[in-house]
Amino acid sequence: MVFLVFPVILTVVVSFNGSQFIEFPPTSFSLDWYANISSIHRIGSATLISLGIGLMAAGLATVFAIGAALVLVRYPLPAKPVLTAFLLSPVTLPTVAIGIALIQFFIMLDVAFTWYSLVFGHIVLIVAYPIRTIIASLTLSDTSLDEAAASLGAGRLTVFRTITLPQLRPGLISGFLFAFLISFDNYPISIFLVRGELTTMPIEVFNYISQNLDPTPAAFSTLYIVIVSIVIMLAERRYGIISLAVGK
Amino acid sequence: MARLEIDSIRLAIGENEILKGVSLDIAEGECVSILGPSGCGKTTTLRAIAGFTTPHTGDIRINERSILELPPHKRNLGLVFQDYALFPHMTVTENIAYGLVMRKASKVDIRQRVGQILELVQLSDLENRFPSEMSGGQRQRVALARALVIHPDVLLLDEPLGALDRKLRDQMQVEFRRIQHEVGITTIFVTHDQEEALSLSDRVAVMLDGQIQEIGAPETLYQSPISHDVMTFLGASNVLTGVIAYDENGNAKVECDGGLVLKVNTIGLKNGERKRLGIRPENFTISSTIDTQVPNSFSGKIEECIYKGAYADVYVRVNSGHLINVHYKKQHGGNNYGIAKSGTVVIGSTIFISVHPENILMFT
Amino acid sequence: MLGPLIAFMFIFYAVPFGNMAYESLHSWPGDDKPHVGLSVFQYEKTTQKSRTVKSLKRTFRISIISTILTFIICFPITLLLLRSSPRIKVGILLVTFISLASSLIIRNYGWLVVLADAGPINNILIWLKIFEFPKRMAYSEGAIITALVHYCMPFMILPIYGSLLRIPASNAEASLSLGANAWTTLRRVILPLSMPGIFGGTMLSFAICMSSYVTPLMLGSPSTAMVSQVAAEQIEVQLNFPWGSAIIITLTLGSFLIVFIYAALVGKVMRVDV
Repeated sequence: MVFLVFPVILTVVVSFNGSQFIEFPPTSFSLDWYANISSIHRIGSATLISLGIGLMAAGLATVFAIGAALVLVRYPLPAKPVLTAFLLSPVTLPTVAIGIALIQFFIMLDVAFTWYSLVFGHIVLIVAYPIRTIIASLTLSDTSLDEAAASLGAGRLTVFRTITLPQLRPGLISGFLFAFLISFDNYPISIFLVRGELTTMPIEVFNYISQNLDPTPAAFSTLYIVIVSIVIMLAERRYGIISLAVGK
Repeated sequence: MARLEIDSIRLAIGENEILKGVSLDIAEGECVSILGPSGCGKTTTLRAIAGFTTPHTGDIRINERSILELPPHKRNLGLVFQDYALFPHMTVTENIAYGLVMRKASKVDIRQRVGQILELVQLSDLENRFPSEMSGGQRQRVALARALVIHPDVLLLDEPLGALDRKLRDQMQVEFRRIQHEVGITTIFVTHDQEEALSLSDRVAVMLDGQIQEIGAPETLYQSPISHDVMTFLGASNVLTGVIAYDENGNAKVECDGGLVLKVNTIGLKNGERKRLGIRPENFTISSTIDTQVPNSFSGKIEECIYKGAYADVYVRVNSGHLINVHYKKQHGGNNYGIAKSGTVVIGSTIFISVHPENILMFT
Repeated sequence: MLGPLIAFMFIFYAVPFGNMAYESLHSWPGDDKPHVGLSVFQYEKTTQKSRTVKSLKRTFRISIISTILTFIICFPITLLLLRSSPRIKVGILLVTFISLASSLIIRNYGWLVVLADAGPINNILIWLKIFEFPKRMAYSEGAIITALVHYCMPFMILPIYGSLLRIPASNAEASLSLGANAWTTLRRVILPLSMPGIFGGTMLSFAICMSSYVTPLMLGSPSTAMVSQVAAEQIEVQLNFPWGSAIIITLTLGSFLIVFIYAALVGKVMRVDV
């Protein structure tokens, strides 16, 4: 178990090290590297772009997923297993394959290297996650509640809004969260679809790492890990997403 | 064939003391049940014998030797679990042979003994089936076979008939008795089902709240229990309280509220003593007229009647205000005591009920 | 309800892949024998050029080693997880998730830190007098395997844990009561019954390793290139779309094939539904 967190802990410690090189145990203490984060090329705009794309892609993916999950769970459909497999399959492929396929496709359509092309590309990969978590939520939800509401006079849309959706909340939140994180962190698809000013956070951080030996990325990593940990712990406390993902 | 002694075991799980001094001696070949409601500690007792939990005081001995130091896999006991715990990835034969394989029996020996035990439980033609392909009753017999084939010292069962439906349960009761007698193995089982306990055991130990209240043969426990709690736990009963008084002839009677007076058997009763009484519904006789020959005859109005098939549960409000529960069994021909010939009861009609003094149980 | 997503996926997923497959059947201006129309030339090239063949073998080897190592490490962890108190359980799962959610680039960077010349591993080894000078550990196959194992741990733990949960406790107790000790019970009862989870976990880990790109990119060297890297190189650097497409398609189909065969074998041998 220690193995799991070892690299993370180390990175955090190194980020505070004063030396110019990556070394452990650290020889001095310094916050220089945190200040140096801004020297990562275009890190500011790249992070914003990643944020924007992530939110947009995760949002759209989740919306798509709600409709898909509802149909897949509650309506009899002839080709259901095939359809489900199709929709979830991007996760099973080499991510690079998706990137390669998409860039050729976008070039063909002359829409390559646009912000939207990145969003759509990410959606292909991440939509599997909200689908899975929402389906899990749906199977746990109680259809008899929907029926009770209908018998009391609620129309289809009202039932959905007031009864179904609240029950789906854990699945929605966790699905959105996972989708966002996968998109935010994605390299293999983004690397093919970006050019020039359009760049993402992982790409810029990676570029910095391959060109510099100082611990600036360690400082950036520490910040990132802290923020992500806080978000996940908040989500778990409020919505219990981890138990949902483990499944029954 | 072994003697099992449970000697004053106390067992706590976390902060809670579950077993508060449990003792039980089981003779060779005897079949004893521990009967009690959920949470009373009966399953814990079984698990302590099996070795899955350990009492912090007391001892458990088989043939005078303590087994507490032995881990579960060295105790040579046969366990039948409530969910049968058959290994889903093994056939019936492999399941049954498992214990023999652990004891390093030879292939020939295994085949022979498995064959024999399958015949005993009447499952010979199912030897290559998987548990998922069998019914509940069949699975139970496999579980039993698996536990018996290793010739354990003691057989332990957890709610043996619990998972079976009514009909199957009746069948299995007969089966179980037969197998237990044929093999003659010392057996202990736990259950919350009174019928199971009364029909299958040589002796019943009633356990309430971590302690054994009373042990005895089924008939004794049911007809003449010593403990009031045991009486109310087993079967239905009418509970009354009253004070002992002696009449002119020296016969004892109990004066209850509302003027209800019951003549009881005179055995060492003190005048003025408060007693709790228990009368089983099936011990009342029903008549359309009062019979002065029979002691303890009362009239009352029928308030409620619940048809149960073999009998009807009738609730009679007697003059003293008590609501008495009696069992009414349909009579053939003859006068049905104000009750229609078809066996249905007319609510509101008056009938007379009587009970013999010897059927009135008394407790402090 | 389902329509919009299906349409979307069709346009942005099925079609591009179809297009890529189509592209892979074409020739590239820089090819030795450019030809017109469709042919399997690019695939032949994939199986003939040493760079791709070596890379395919290397990728397969690294994936197998990583998967096996991950299993050996994770199975005991999962058993432990089963027995620990709820608080510890949630704690472990939480840490697993956070590590899952941390950027892959950051995690691999962490490994670069750990395996660095002046990093903790080297320092410990020097302190223990095993080496005199720091050993170059980063940018090697070993580094890739280490990082892959680390990455795959959650994907191995979760399915196996799920499978173990479904085994009724009474099964283990029955085995003990029949005379089997803990180790035998593990071998004869627990392991077979957890096969669905084991299969799921190993299959998932293997697929992840086969497809990996960022990890070998960061922790490896040009001589340790895995197939995804080789394909990406062709697209990005050489702009050889047909060959790059063919390479990645070969990897994808190859992975699927191996997984199929694995599933069939496991199903037969273990007599359990996977």
